Amino acid sequence: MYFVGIDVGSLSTETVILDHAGAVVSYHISSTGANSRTAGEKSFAAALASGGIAQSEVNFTVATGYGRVSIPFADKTVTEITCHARGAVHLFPATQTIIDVGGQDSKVISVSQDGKVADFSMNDKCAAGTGRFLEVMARALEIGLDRMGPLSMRSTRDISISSMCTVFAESEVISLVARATPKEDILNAIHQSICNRLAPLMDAVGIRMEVTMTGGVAKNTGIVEKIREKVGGRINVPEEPQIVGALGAALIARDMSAHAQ
Amino acid sequence: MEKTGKSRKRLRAAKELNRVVTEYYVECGRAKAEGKPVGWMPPMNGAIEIFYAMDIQPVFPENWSPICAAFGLAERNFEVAEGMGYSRDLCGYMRNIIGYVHGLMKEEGTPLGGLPEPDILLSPGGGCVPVIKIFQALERRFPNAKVYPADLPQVPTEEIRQHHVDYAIAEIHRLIDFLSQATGRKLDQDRLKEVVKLSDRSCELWDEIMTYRRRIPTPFSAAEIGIMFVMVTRQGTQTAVDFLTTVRDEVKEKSAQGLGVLEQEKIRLFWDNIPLWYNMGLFNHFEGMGGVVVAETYSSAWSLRLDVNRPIEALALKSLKSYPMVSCVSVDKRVEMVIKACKEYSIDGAILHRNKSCLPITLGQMDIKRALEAELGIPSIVIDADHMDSRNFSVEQFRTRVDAFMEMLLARKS
Ligand code: SF4
Repeated sequence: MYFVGIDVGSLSTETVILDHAGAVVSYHISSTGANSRTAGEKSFAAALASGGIAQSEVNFTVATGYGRVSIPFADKTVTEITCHARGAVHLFPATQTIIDVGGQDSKVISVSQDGKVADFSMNDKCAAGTGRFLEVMARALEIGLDRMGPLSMRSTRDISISSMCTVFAESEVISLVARATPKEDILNAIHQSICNRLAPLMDAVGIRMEVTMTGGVAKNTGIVEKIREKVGGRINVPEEPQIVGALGAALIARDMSAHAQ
Repeated sequence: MEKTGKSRKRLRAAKELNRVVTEYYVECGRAKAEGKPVGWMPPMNGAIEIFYAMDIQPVFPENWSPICAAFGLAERNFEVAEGMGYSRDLCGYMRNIIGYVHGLMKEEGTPLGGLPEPDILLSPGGGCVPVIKIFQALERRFPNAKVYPADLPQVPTEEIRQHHVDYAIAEIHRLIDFLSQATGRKLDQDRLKEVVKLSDRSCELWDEIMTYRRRIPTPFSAAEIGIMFVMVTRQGTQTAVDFLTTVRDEVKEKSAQGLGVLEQEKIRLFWDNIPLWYNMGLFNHFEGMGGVVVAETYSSAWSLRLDVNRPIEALALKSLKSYPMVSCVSVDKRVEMVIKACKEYSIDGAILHRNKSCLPITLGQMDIKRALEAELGIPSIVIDADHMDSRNFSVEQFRTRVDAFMEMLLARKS
């Protein structure tokens, strides 16, 4: 008996499969591409294959993320806020605040003692301060996403990127490159600007320890460090921060299946 | 869910409303054809009663904008206005009406016959900056119209003093003189009293209808808020009173039978700021999860009674109070009004529409959010949209936020 969570985000799609005891038996991460339904189906098939599981053995499936409504085989859809909270609290039970920076959304969620969502705040319609912003900047600087964090740690000079909008910020970065500003300093400034965009969300909800970061952007050590400075304490980062939403969805699938019986 | 769409209405009176709207616009066109003077004015002030009492046809550009949005004409109007150099960041009512008068208005075949050209423009000196600028732009577009430059002190309602009222009374007299000169028509005091009485009656009915919304389950949701059409365009007429009476009777009957919008009403919501006129169907979206939008900013917008025995003073007070009731109000007053509504309508959660097109009403929403949580323990969610321009609205973003909010509210209640 297996339980499945599928998180179809704007940039990436993740599937997590749990066994009856709630242990992760398999997971899969891929990019969403143009069609969220196909992305969900492929991701699901890949996770089944890597766990050696037949579809008939799946008991309950919960879909989450932007594309959640386009997954026809899901038994239930749940929003990513609820799923991220569930996943983060499962991994770090003392979590009271979750900072999730995903592809085109960033959010701060506060959870109550019993692990329920107490309040949350999300970015406005602009993509600045999200994974998409980081992708644009990586391209402008011609470096890989995974190198951004370590490289930014070598920065020696504080500069700032003040533009509110992704397109403006990109041209600001390009002109910094043209002036031969060291890449590590530019990266440091980019990370700071993402942290600045998150600050009002943190203020709106209020930060209570412990803080857990989820979403692909949590892989960027430079940003995690900036947020650590801002909140003034330790930040939990899961080993695979990208799958926390899908994990939460799978955990909810397991609860719902138990409930239904 | 679609980006644009009409709401699913449940009141029988909704059909009646379509007739009332059509009739009004037909009347506007006929007035022009018959040589009756036509005056364009901003909404929510005491001039409408004077116009009706003097048999001058009032036309409201701000009401025409939601109609354009509902008929899908707004984008064309925006293109014209933006082509003229008006920025996309300006109020959507402003861009829509300016685009309309310079574009579609010159063509045949507009729904409801379009708007008749103004003989008179009541150009406001207050309200909000965009509404002042709309009329200044109209003055240039219609150089032959006679312009009444209106003036009103911009004071928060709680700070209105006798000298403000005296000044507003003087302004009403000045308006009457202006209209007499411009049209050759005289104001009959008995007729004015009659009109003010009808206007007061419509406010009374409005409040009564709103009172029934307090019932659990509520018989009336924001999906039906289009009834405010008569408060904007028909105040002071028998049409408004008759229509609101029909609505009141239906809502009263539903209440008596314990019939709600939803059989299983789980979550009661408040909507802050103007609805998305191009997508009133959003109000039905919550219903799938057991949520119903019970009250909104406009619920209290016409909670103003008029003293029939002192009609001029009543209209002066109405002018001072009613537009500011929704837009140019002090932040304290806004917070107070939302808190009051949330208590009266037993609200579980508030949706704060951060409206790119209307900064005056958007101002103060963070204070509202904090006050709701601190004083009533009511959570709220901010959503980004625009009451006129669908290009500033993403269905997916909306759904992610409100669905998560509904999940949170349902979990809190369980
Ligand atoms: S109150 Fe808002 S919507 Fe109305 S004219 Fe002013 S800015 Fe525009």
